[in-house]
Amino acid sequence: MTHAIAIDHLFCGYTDQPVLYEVSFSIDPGSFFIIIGPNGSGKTTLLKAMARLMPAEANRFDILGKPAGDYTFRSLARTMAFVPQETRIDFPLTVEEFVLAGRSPYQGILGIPDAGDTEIARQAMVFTGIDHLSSRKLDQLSGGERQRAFIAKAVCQEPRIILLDEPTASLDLAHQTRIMDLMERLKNEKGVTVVMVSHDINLAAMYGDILLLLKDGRVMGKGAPSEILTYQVLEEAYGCMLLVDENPLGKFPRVTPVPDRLKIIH
Amino acid sequence: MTKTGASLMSRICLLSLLLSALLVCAGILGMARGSSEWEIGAILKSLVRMDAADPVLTGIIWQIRLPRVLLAALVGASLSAGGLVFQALLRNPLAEPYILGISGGAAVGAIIGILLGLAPFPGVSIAAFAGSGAALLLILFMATGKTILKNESLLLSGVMLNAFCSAIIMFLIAITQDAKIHNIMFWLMGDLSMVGLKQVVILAALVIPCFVVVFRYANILNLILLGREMAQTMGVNMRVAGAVLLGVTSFMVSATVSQCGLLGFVGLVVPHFFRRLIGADHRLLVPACLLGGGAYMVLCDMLARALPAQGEMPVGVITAIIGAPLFIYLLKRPDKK
Repeated sequence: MTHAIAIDHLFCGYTDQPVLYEVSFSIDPGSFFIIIGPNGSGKTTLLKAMARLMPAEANRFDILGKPAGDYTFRSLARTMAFVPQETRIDFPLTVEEFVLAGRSPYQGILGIPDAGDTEIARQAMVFTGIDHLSSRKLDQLSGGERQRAFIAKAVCQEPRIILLDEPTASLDLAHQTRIMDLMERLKNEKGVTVVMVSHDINLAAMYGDILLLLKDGRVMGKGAPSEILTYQVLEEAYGCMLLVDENPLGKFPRVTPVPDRLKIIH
Repeated sequence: MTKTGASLMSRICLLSLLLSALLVCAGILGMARGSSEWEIGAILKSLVRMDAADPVLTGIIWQIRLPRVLLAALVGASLSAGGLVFQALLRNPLAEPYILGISGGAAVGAIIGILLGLAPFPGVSIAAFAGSGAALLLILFMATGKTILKNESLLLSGVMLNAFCSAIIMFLIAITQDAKIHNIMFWLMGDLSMVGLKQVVILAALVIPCFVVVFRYANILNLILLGREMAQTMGVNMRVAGAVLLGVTSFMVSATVSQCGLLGFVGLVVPHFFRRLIGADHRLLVPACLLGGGAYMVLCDMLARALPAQGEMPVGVITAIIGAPLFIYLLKRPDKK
């Protein structure tokens, strides 16, 4: 089986101060892969290195069995879509124009959409539930709607792999689960490999097939949520006291940070 | 309402046709107004059938008025498209074609040329072009290579470069005492009066290929608006696109500035006007800025000749007097689109 992404001994960062050291892992196609770790552990850098937004050196860096360097930017854009954390867009752009821009890696030089492109964009907007907002301006959307517009644009690229940088940050609980459910549907219905950076360990525990735990630019562990999310591993990674028990919703771990005044119990 | 490719194409064509018509009308009007005035019919006649028209009129039209109108159209187009590209490339709505220091470099070159007593063409033009070329090389050096400056620092470097050049300009003006001051002031305010057909043809040969390149990059500009990282993950090679756009646009603006001096506000007002009118799609905005910016400059130049009772004023005064209040009005107006 070809891996969606296979990375061996990846170094990344600035020459005097690397951010990632000897990072090696692989991602199975069609899995929900979530990168977790404390602040400054290199999660976003790793995601950007995978999107080829950061120069990186590696013994091996394959995307769908082909060396990443063999892809042109255009062919990579048809294989892999990237959803950044926060992008400020100061220029008036409608949701439909924005989503349709996702077709550009398939289009000619001027990006004139044909009927097929328009239909794919419409389906992407229906899939993320923003089809009723198609003629609204991007800057008139709420945080959750905006994030779904960005995901619709990514879906419109018809990628095999989608990379997301903390898509649930700064969203309320309802929108967080909505985005995560959407990613799960993308994986199940379209077989897309979902790779996500997340701060939220509990969301990662409920949705992730495989978690990758980073600390100080190195891989601390990789495996199913039940293997990675133990208090021994997490307390070492995050350096604080944590309570890990079983989530009453099902068989996945639940992580609760312990406030100072309650530590007396232990 | 879905916007299919066919309707986008027809919108691009329709807009281009409308603005071309506007540009032609502005051009004819621009040829009719001046130190002596003629019927529009007579002008058309001398343009189309030279042998049948009044020879004096034909001479004036072909040697003075037509080159001037064509120059104004090229200058307006370059500066408007230049502003449009810089605003998208630097993702800053306040960017204008001079923002990276091209104007400062050109001005220093031109003033040195004037002080050396060179002829306006080709001497001063070449000196100005050399000055802006030096500024352009500095910009490219700053924007490429190992330590690439980010947008903000690139902008700040441009501001500093312009400030440094202003200091040199002030120094040069301070040590100049004769009539050359007048020439320097006219150059600094932007002036279209000193051109012949030959110069216009040279400028056209330099800038029209740049227009084609900018239009070819119109959709890439749309993607760049979403952010450099987004553009790259959507298939744009940002290193190449950034260098081409920066290089071509700066070259086009340098060529323009070296012919006509510093015309302010055009590169700021025209792109914003059309963005308000037709939205943020560069496939429409590039032709709109080229044709509409050309027409705007032709009309401003006509006012510069028509308003003073005697002689004329530098067209840069008109573009600034119209431009600054119009820009504030555009910003203040609620966004309808």
